[in-house]
Amino acid sequence: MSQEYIDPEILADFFVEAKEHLETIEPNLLELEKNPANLGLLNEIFRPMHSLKGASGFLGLNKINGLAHKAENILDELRQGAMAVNSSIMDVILSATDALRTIVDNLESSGQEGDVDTAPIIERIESILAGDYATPAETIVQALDVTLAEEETPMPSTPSLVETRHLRSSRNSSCCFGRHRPNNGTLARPACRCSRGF
Amino acid sequence: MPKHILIVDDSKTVRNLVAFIMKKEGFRVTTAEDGLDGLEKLYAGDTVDLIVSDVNMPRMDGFTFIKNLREQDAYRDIPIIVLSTEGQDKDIQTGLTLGANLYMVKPAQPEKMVRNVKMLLG
Repeated sequence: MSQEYIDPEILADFFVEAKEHLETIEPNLLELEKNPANLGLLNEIFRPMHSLKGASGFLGLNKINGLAHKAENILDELRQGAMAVNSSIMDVILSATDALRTIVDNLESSGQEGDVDTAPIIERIESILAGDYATPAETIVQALDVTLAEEETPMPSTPSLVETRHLRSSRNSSCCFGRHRPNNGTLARPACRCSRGF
Repeated sequence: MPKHILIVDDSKTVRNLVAFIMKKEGFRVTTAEDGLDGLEKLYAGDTVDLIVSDVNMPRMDGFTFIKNLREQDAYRDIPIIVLSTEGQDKDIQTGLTLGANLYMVKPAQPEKMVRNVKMLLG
């Protein structure tokens, strides 16, 4: 976009719009973690991400545009049912949203998108889109709701994978998200056996 | 009397940016937030000479909006440019089949947008 069209008023509109979109995306993402099969939530997340991509592209904000585009791609796959929500996917979408928020804030405060490194997030999304996601059939379930009684319920023939859930504030990208499960396949909340010791 | 353009897009940034570009070229501009708002503006306002419409919008998307317009005698021939981030062949085909005159993929170059608008307005 030629600089002659980058009017300060339009940029100010963009900041307001971008923040509105992110404020719509963020709570819906957290809700999606609890209700991964809710297509309505996916649409509620997809639309603002799509708009963010469109508006940033017009303003030549390439970092925002590139990241929003990739996030939109994966959201589109989810809402079309081509893949199911799982913790790897949730994690990368949350990371993308956090990075978008930081870039928008940087842009508003300093006029620059800043040095947020979006490449690893984009790379991760691309690899998930290419089929590399840890456990494709896995669906996030609300492990926090699993009671002790349930943990002692006899094992069903095809038990769902139980994942411990991390509040966003304590999200740690190096954590295995409790993906590991006991060898006996019970629904017991898994004691993580990853090398990180979570 | 300057030509009157209706810009339909749910993104305020895009709406205002396209409006800014068109006003710079001397066009008169009205904006709408989605297809439904676009119809309301058309029914309530002055004659519109050309429409620039997004596709993916809440309430009424751009394709439904175009289809609706082309079914009405009053808007059967009004030039319509689709301006969308959806740039796959099937999207372009759908837009043109429904009656759009041109399909531009976002982010479009302002100069190209202006050139296309002027071309369609003769």
